[in-house]
Amino acid sequence: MRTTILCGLFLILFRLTATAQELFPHAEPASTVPKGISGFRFFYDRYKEQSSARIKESYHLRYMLGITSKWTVMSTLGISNHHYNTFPTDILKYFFNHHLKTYPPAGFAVEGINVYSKYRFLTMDNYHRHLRMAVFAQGNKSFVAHDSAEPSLMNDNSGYGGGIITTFLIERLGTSLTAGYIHPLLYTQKDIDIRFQSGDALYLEFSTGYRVWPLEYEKYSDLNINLYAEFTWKQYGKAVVQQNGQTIDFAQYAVLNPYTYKELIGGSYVDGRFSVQFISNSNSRIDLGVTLALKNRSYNYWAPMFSLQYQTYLYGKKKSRKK
Amino acid sequence: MFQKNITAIVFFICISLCSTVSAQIDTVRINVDGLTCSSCSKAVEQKLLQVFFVKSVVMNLNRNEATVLIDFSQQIDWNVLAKAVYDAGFSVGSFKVPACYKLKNKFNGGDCSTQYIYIHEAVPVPVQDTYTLVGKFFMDKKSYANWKKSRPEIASKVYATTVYYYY
Repeated sequence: MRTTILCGLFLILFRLTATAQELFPHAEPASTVPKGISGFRFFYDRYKEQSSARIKESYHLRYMLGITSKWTVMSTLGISNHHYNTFPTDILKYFFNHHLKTYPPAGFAVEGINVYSKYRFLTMDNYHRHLRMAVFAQGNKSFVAHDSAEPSLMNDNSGYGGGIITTFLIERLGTSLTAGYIHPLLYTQKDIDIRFQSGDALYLEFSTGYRVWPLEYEKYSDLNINLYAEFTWKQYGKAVVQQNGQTIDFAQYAVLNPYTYKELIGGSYVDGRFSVQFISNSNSRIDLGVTLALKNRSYNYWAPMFSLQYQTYLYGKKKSRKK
Repeated sequence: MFQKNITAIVFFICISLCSTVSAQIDTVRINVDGLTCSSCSKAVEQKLLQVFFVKSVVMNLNRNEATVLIDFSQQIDWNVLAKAVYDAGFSVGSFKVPACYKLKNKFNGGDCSTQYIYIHEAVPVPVQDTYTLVGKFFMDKKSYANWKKSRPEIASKVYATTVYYYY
């Protein structure tokens, strides 16, 4: 029912789109940061881990730079209370109970640093329309012990990945499709001789947006209000957990500890992120969003997850005139 | 009759459908393709403002047109202005400059007729306020492709002044 309503809302928005917006809160468009321009984005996510009633939060700070007009690099630092710095000695007790209220909560820790590079290789521009394609690659160094099969390069897992982005805008319609791949690296911890390998993942992200205000621009300072609907399909392999050289088979605990079992086996899901965006002075923007599970669920967060983002670009000084 | 200038290869074509709006002699008008939001326009405006011979820029946020006020006391290179649009991440749809006879000796301190080449069939040169530049980075790809097909003998002589335009 919820899926039907949300899909219907999406289709209504699709038909009502005014001038398209590609400043997607979640997905990266194929467009790049202007050459020599840098920017910052701060983003905050929050959800309630329903099994423990604990609030889980993450804070990310991103720096973006246009190396050339077609090449953008970004780096993101993340801090959250999602993970423990290391696995404890009693690993089985950890996997069975870490999401319950009875288990000591994780404190805030620097989770990792992500580096992302995007290159726009196709540009077909026209009046009020464009088709662009870009390839991207990213890597992440994690400083925490990620504990689920689903990998993530936004600070959770050390690993690398890449993909391709196609963004198409024409008059009233703006859409973007991202196809990506994630390969997490093996996590090892010598003190308890544990090796944890999340599964590889493939994902598709479909994003669309439209401007509800202003109906026509008068000046840069006009407040822009945009609405976005973004959908992610992700499929990942199972986690392989080994201790003292022995693989731990979590399938045997499927009945007694279904949450742990489902967290560690391979799976797929579809979630949707719905956002409202406010842009001031045609530069700084604030995004408010909510992420919902539409089909199955991710075990990296609990829906609904609420998001707040702020982004701004820093434009350089004017060159002094030659005398 | 054509003259070829080695230092500044700028061709202009007089198009009968050129805008009838009378332009200030110190301004150029650039139609920018690919723009879809005011933030995008702002990025183009900021990159244009960074060009040292630009005094000011007024962006029409709905028509995606930049009206650029030029400081003709500086050394002018239209390629630099077009490059600023590409550096912002967008493309030039059309690039209109003040007619040479209006600039008189203002363009790079000399007679601009030695640095512009008129290549339209109409003779004599029609009197208009603005001319539209032609070239790979002064027009949209489709228009450039059509123009090259229609005037191959001219297109073969047109080349970019700097290799860094070949992104």
